[in-house]
This record gives sequence, structure tokens and C-alpha cells, in this order.
Amino acid sequence: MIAPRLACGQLSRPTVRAMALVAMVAGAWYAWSPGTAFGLPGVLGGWQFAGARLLDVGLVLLALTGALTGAGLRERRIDEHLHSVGLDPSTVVRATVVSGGLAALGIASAFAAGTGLGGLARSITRGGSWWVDPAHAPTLGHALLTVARLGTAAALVGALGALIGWVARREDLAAAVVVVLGLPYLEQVSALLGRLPAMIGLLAFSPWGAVRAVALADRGLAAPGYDRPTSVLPFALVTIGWVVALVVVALPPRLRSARSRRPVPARLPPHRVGSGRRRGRGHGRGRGRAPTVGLVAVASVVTVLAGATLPARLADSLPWRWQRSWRTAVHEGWSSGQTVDRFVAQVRSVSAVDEPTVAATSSPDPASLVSRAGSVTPEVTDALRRASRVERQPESSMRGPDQVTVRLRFDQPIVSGSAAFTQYLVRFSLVVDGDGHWHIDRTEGPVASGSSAASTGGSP
Amino acid sequence: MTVPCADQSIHEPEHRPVVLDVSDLAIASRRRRIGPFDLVVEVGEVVGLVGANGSGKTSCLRLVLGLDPATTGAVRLHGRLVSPWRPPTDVGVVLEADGCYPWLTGRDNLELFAGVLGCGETEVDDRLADAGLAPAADRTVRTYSRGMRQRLAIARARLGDPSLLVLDEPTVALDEAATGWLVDALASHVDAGGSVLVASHDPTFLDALGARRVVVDGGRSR
Repeated sequence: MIAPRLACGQLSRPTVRAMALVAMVAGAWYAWSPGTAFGLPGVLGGWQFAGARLLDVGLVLLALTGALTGAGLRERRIDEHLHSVGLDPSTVVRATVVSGGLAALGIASAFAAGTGLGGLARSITRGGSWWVDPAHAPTLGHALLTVARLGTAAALVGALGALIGWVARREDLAAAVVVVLGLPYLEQVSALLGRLPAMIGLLAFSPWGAVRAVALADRGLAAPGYDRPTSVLPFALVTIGWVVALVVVALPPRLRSARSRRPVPARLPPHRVGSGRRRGRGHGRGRGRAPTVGLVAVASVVTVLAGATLPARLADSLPWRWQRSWRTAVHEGWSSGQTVDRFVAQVRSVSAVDEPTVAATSSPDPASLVSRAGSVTPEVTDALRRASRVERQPESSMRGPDQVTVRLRFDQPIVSGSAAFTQYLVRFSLVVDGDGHWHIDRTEGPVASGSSAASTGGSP
Repeated sequence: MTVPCADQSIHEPEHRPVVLDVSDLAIASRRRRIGPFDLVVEVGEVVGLVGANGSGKTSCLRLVLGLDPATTGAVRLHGRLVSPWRPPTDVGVVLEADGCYPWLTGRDNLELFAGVLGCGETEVDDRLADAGLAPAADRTVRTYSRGMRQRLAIARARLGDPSLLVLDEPTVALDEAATGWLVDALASHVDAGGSVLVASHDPTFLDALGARRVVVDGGRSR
């Protein structure tokens, strides 16, 4: 087996060792970080708390390791020497991919060790014996499942990185590509990119985005508030698509078979050099590659832009904002956000005397905004009416179609005890009817959100 | 015109089994044009490719090894076709790039290939010692001189005792003593029934090997 040897060779590299050290320190920091109020103490607690960060803070390191494995092999022409000792291209590419995955697993192990050390440091510095208390310990099965899921994802990132490196041929180019693809998943960067809703959707179809979505069942970004719970299946298909596309590009074109050997003149006729006819007969580079790449590209475009045309089972597993039912609801003005908008506008436009006509509408009534009587509490109605401004959560930051949060701003702070608040949050839970129209089913809040230093003003 | 001799048997060419048969090998694309290149290497023969800089010697070697796809022609090694999808077997190569991980030791680099070829650690040690690299075997290749790297590449090419050695400018960076060692090593390889295909600018080296010279010009053999 050449792959483990290649992986060991890569892990012996000083650059990769430095990255393993960085991964370990990062893991330890996130598990121990004093700024984290709810971190779990102990070795296992540290891993459980910070392990998932392997796919955001650790993503670039994993991808870089894979990319250096793939590109280093080609830049140093080791692939040619492997060819010369009898390994065919598919074997060499396969070994490269596996070695990239194994090397990335090495980095993941360093990160996991770091999280364990961080958790241990936390239990030592802050007390707590969660790690030795069997009553609080997670089940072994759960822990193993987490390890397997994240380990597989790390190996996938490394393998894809190795393929990208192989195709790039040069280490600097490969490193640049995988870093650019991985940077959006650093928390700080994703907080910026997440402001562009389209970017979140787009990044989910990048190689690392797809792997993250498969591993974490979340197609969003790393920053808080940008998580997007999702089905795994579509992104598993996207990941497979990336692997297939890269493998197709990585392998040399299959030229004519030996049986088609034919004699050629001592000098090739000039008019035939590089002619389209020659390429058309399959003698040029890229023969056999173009149709496959084209098919993958078309499939990707169809998946991304026309998800609604997929079979019902696949369409259902698309992100909710891409599903046909949601698009129809938006088109008809009955999406959850639009329903809440109309409800807020209606509440704020009527006087307190008319309130029951809004909040206690009988149900089911397709024309009404609430699904049943008592869906909206009087406190919410009152707060909505008295707020200076009402801001509805944008669709791009909604966790799902059935939860809409509204922020109420008060010019005059609301005093509660010794604190004064200027902002309140109200969460609307909605249900969809048979026509695909969303109705308010329940409300939570108002909950104070932003405080003011001044302790003057009224109460809601 | 050959003058008939009394003892014909002395002057008749000796037909030995063919190791490498290259016929009409060419690349004809918009950007690149190499060949046609024809060559036959027999068992126990040393063939030297000579030619000016840029004459296509390295390109021809790469085509022969199946590292680059040829547009036309065929390469048969031990009667078996060679192409990018059909890699050569039983061949040792020294190419322009040394093909080593600089952060690994010389021994580790050799063991990487020994694992593929199924060679044992003993053979790795033997090759390192033969190349005069035993004292430096456990140093990283990054600390090697250019000549030491070249010797390491030659040692790797000889792993598994291949019947054909394909060498591209093997004497580059070698000092006189190392060149002498290489000549001796190749001579013993030929004596043992092996063959050598070497591209070189060094006429002294080729003379010392007793190589049959094939002139390459524009990738064409003459």
C-alpha cells in the first residue's frame, strides 16, 4: 500500500507538522477558552464541546494538508517516478486521494487531542469533574458517532484537497485555491459573508460547504445566527459530484487503444497538425473528458437553479427556501414572513378597541392570518402597537420557514426594575395549511433584547 | 556498401532479443511537435541519445516511458505496449527532477519506492551503500548536495534490478569519481544482461559506456 507511506511522508513535513501543532493549539483554545461560558470540562467534554469546530477553524488546515499532499506529489514529479515503476494513473490518483484523507485525519487527530487537553485544562483551572462522573458522561455510542462523523468529514476534506492539489500541479496554486474556498468558514469571515444571503446558499455548494453540510446537517456558515439546518442527501450528491468532476480532470485522457495503431509518415503533413478533424477523431487531450465534465456541469446547474424540477423525494430534501412550495407561497404573498408582516401592519393600524378582531379570529379560515383563536397573546399585540419601530427578521437569517422573529424598538426605554430596555423580541411560530399558506399559530415574548443605561421611561 | 569478408560470421550483426521497440512515436499538436522517433534497444545494449540543447531528447524519453501521451506511434517494452495508461514495468529511471521529498531522509525516499517494488530493507541499504550514501542515509534530502541527490536517484533507479535503465543526463552534477562509479555500475548492469538508454551531452561518458549513439533532432531519430 503506497497511500499510507505517502501520508506518513506528508505528515513528516515540517509545514504539515506546524499545521498539526496549530490545530492542536486551536482545539485546546476553543475547549478551554475563558470567554466561553458554557464549555464542558474534561477530556471528553472538551471534544464534545469544541469538536465540531474542526470543520470551521480547522477546515483550512485540513484542506491545506490535503492540497499539499496532492500538489507536492506532482510538483516534485514523484507521480512520474511512481508511473515509471509500474503504477497506472488511476492507482496513483487513488493513492494520492487516500493519502490526502489520511494526512487530514492526522491533523484532525491533533485537533481532537487539543480539544481534550483544553477540556482537561478547563476542569483543572475551573474545577468540575464532569469527565470522571459516569452519571454525566455521554454514552460511548454517541461519542463514537461524533468521532466517526467528524473523522469522515475531515478525511473527505483532505481527499478533496488532494484532488484539487493534483489538478493544480503546483503547491502554491493549490494552497491558494483551498484557502480561498475554506476561509468563508472561519467564524469572523463568515460573519461578514453571511450578510449576503445569496452567499450562504452559494457556499453550500462549494467543496467544503458540501462536506460540512453532510457532516453537520447544516448548510450555513460558522458564525452564530448563520446556521441553516438541512437535509444531508442533496449535499452528499454535491460532494460526490465534486469528487467525480475532479477525478475526471485529474486522470489523463484515454487515448486511442493499441489496436488502432497505424503507421504514420516520416513527417506529418503540416495541414493535419492540430486540425479540428484530428481532435474530432479523438487524438487530442481532453477526449472523453469534455462530455463528462459537461454532464456534471449541467447536473450542477439544474440542481442549483432548478431544484424544483427534481423528483419529489429529492425536491423535499432541498433547502426550504428552494422548495417549490415555499416559492409558491412567496409568490402568492402567503410565506411566513409575509404573513407576519401583514399581521404586524394590521395590529399597528387598529386601535386597542378593535384588537379582538385581529387576535381572536376564528379558524380555520384561509383568509385569516392566525390559525386559531388565542394564537397571539395580548402582551404581544400590546407591545407591537406601542413599539416605535418593528423590524422583521429577514428571510435569509430564518432558521426555517415556521419561525419568524420580530424586533420591537422603543424610542423611550421601558423600565423593568433597575434596568431599562429599548428592544424586545417576539417570536412567531407559524403553520402551513393545505394551500401552502402560512398562518400564525403561536407567539413567544416579548423578551427584552437591548438595554439602555437610562432608567427613565414607561413600561410596556 | 559493405565489403564482403572471408569470415561472414564475424561481421554479421548479432540479433539479440529486443527490450525496447519504439516506432513512429510522435506528438503533433498545435503547440508541440515531436518525432517521429524510432528506436530499438536490444538486451545488453547501451544506447545513447545525443543532440543539441532543445533537440527533444528528454521529450523522447518521456514519450518512451509513457509520461506524455503520444499522438501516433507505439512503444513496446518487453513486447508490452507502454502509454500513459499502461505504465512500463521492469524499468529504472532517472529523470530531470529527482522525485524526492526533501524533508524525508534518503533512506525514507528509497523505502517509499521499495515498498511499491516489493524490495526489502536490505536492498535499500545495499543500494545506498553502493551509491556511497550510507553515511548520509539518515539525513534529510534537503541537506544533500546536487551530486548526492543524483546518486540517490540512480540508487532508486536500480532498486529491484530492472532490465532496462532509462537515464536522462545522469552525469549532471556528478564529480569525476561519481561519474566513474556510475560507469562501473552501468557496465556491471549490462554485463548482467541489462540494457541502458541514456540521454547525455557527455561524450566521454558515452564512450566509456561504449554506447551506440542515436542523434536526436527535433525529436526525430537519425
